Amino acid sequence: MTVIAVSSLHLSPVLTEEQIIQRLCKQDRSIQKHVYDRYAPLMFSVCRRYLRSRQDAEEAMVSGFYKVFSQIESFLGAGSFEGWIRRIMVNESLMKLRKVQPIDFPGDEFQPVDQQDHFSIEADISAREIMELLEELPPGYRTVFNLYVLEGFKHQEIADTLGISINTSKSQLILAKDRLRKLLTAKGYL
Amino acid sequence: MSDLFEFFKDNESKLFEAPPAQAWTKLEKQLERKRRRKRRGIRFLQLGAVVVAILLLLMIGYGVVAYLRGR
Repeated sequence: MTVIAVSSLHLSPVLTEEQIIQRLCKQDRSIQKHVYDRYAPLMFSVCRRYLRSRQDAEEAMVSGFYKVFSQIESFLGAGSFEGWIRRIMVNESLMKLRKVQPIDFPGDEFQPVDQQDHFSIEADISAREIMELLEELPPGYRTVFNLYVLEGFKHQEIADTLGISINTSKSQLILAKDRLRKLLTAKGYL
Repeated sequence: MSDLFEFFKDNESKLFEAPPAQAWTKLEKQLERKRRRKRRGIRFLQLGAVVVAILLLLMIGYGVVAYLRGR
């Protein structure tokens, strides 16, 4: 297990990640609160990207942290702790998304050609504008885009996670990119 | 990877958002419920162990008495 100084976690600098996990295994509420305070803003933003409603995102995040703390023994330390939490949050968000509304993948019968664009976005776009851009994408596009671009999933992993074909995953990503390009152009950023 | 993807990756940290204040309270309630259920389970197991021990003692006592009477 990677041992890192945890001053970045706003905890006592003498505690290592390993020690934090040991205390989490003992269901130490104060350490749970510290871990929550450290990761909640990032994890809430992860959930928000999949779920339009703040309430749904909050429920997914709470449910995700509940799993993190109650299943902490299953963290084997193979990867990063943050990555493990993030994966749980993504799964919770996808489960919530399916519950709220089945994910539709429009245009998956088409085989669009990816344009190898190399434009650059120089404009300084605010967080709100970025969120608005993502929110304007249909759930299918947005989900694949988030998984591929922000979570770093491969198309095979996306296909397995969402129960779709690799081609559908690829086409959703190309369509998402196309839609985002149009939105950025319409808003004058390109 | 296109620049568009890099743009979103680079700006990801901008999207960090404080969760609603009541979220921790909700989570704490769920964790507390789990802790209570676990404690109740442990108490039930302890009670079960005591009952089994008493029954075993009674059976042994009965066995000893029956043996002595037989002699």
